Amino acid sequence: MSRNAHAILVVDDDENIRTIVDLSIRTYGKCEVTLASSGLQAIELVRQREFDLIVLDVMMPDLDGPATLTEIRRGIPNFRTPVAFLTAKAQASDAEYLMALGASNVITKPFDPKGLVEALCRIVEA
Amino acid sequence: MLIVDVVTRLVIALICGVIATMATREKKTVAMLWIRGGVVLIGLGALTDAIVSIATGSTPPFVVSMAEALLWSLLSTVGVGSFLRNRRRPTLAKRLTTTFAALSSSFGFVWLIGLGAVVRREGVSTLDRSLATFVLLGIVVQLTVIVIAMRRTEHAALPGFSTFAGGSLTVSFAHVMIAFDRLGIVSSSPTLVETFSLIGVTGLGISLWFTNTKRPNRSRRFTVAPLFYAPATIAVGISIVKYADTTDEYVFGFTSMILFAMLIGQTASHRSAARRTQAALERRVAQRTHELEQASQLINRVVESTADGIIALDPSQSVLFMNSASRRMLGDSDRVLDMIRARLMQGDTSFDLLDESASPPRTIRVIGTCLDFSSVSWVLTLRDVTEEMGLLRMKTRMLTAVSHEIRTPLTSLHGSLSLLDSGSIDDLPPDASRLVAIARTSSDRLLRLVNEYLDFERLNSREGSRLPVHLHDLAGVVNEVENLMQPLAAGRMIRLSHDVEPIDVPMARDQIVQVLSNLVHNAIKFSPPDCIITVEANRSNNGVIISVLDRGQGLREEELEGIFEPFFQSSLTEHTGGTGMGLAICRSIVTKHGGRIWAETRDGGGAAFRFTLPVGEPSLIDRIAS
Repeated sequence: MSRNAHAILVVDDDENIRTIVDLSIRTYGKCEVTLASSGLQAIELVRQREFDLIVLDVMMPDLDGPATLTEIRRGIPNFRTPVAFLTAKAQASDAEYLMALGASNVITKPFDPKGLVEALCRIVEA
Repeated sequence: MLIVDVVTRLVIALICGVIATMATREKKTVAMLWIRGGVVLIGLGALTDAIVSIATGSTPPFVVSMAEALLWSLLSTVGVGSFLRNRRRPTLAKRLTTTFAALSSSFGFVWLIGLGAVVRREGVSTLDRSLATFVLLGIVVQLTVIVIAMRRTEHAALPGFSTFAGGSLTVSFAHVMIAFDRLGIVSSSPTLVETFSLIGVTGLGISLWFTNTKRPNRSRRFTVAPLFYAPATIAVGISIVKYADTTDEYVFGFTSMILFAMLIGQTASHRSAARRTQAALERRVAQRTHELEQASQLINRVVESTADGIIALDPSQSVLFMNSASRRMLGDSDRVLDMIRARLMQGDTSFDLLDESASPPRTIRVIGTCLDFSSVSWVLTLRDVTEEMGLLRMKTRMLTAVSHEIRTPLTSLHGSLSLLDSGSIDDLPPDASRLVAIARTSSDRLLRLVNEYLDFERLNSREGSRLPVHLHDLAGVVNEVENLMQPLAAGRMIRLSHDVEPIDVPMARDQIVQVLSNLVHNAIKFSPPDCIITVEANRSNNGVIISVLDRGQGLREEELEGIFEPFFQSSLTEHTGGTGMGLAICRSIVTKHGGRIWAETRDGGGAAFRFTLPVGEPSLIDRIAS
């Protein structure tokens, strides 16, 4: 299946971060970005349509990143969309835990906009 | 004839004196003193005979005997005086006991001298068997006194007393001869008697000296049963009743009974003195024991009242002592103590132990001191630092949380500024663009500071004192760091070189790359253009020393220590935008490898930063060497 632009869902409770990720992707990449401000909203969006990549913030109120991923997987049995986590925790043990959940990459905050987009592109083009 | 007799006796006395001096070498030995006593007695007897003979032209036996008795008594008195002057006898009891022994000896002399006088006055033909019996009993008295002297060597060592003993022995020999003469066993002349006596006493003295020299305690083995004196007294009494019929014989008989009675008294006095001494000793021991107990109680109370645990271990690491604080900390099980033992075996002498079995879990800080005593090999001090560690953890948690909270707004700030600065959004007016660049540099620095602080905290909060390590080729690590730093160095016209042989070293690779990158980065920052920065590795006794050498501005002497402290700002870092955390992180990493890091000023300018990494088992070093 070939598409003009990859569809990326960005989930973060911080509006500033959402804006920067959105701007970065639109500046450095050719992707279509959908924004969600909570885990619940993300679950709803994933049910409605298919994405090429989901970027999930780890620490969010109510439903955090890992819990959101678990919920999505429970709702969609054959869920195979790659997921990248965004986290402010830089400990190696945290990254290992997130990778073990089945993440394609773990990107630590703060990130370099260009670096972030390159990392995301590597996932969707793989 | 008389002159010849006197001269012969004097010559014999002189010869005996010389032989005794040569044989015993030391003048103060007991044996020497004995012999001296004998020689002096014989010599004086001979002189008295000579003086009386020359003065009266004849030798009236009674006068000679009385003069000899006088002189010998004088000699005894001198001996007693010399004894009393002797200040080395510390207690009155001992002094009295010995004085008594000395006086008995003197009485023995007087009695025997009197007997001799009777022999001379009455002529040998008038003596009968009873007199011979008295003579032999007299010898028993003399020998008893000598045995007492030998038994109590400290008395025998007294010059006065030893002299009496020697004299007594000589006279005893003489009277044995007289008694044998009386009984018709041998016939003897005075010269023969005295010669025989002197030779006897000299031989005995020398043999005693040899015995004492070779076996110092031998003389103490001579003992006299106190009951010996009682039968002797009875024997004298029977002799008097059975044989005595002249006044003189009764006098001598009763004198000897009195002497024996005195000896019994002396023995009793010895015994009671010994008992008193023993009682005094026991009192003293009891007093000392009490004092020791009190001192021990005081130490015990002090040790028991400390909040810190104190434990003493013997060489097999069994507990010799444990105060109540340590019992409280360790509880009933040996689990924590076994953990402590295991750490001591690993060579750790100061460490924190987490006791997870306690509820809530506790942290115990252990400081071990190795002792050289044969019975105690370790003294351990235990302190419950749970609260302290809790506070420390809370501080770390708070700082880490604050740092995390800083990172989220920093992400927005950094991202926004990066996007603006990249010019990808819109072209900014030049002034705005310059301001954005300034803001971005500052946010970069803030971010680096937060990241480095978190790195440092992460290293220090890590459980255990060591990082997990694997074998990696050091040359490969150095190569990687050189490649990483090459662009930065090239930008400043600085050349990087290294001299590292391939060596497998146990290390946490990423962290060692971080240490080396940091050190090389610093070297680049502080070096002027056209310099060379060299990385070297040398084997040391139990590991490798890795050095980063530059020809930069070097370090001030007072900075060499503090430079590894967190947030240290040297005179140089202000201009280079350093966070002051880099070297602190390096030290944490190296310490957690069991290594050491330090800085030196190089001869000819520049700085040398060196750190060690232990290689561990010797077989590995051998493998590297081969």
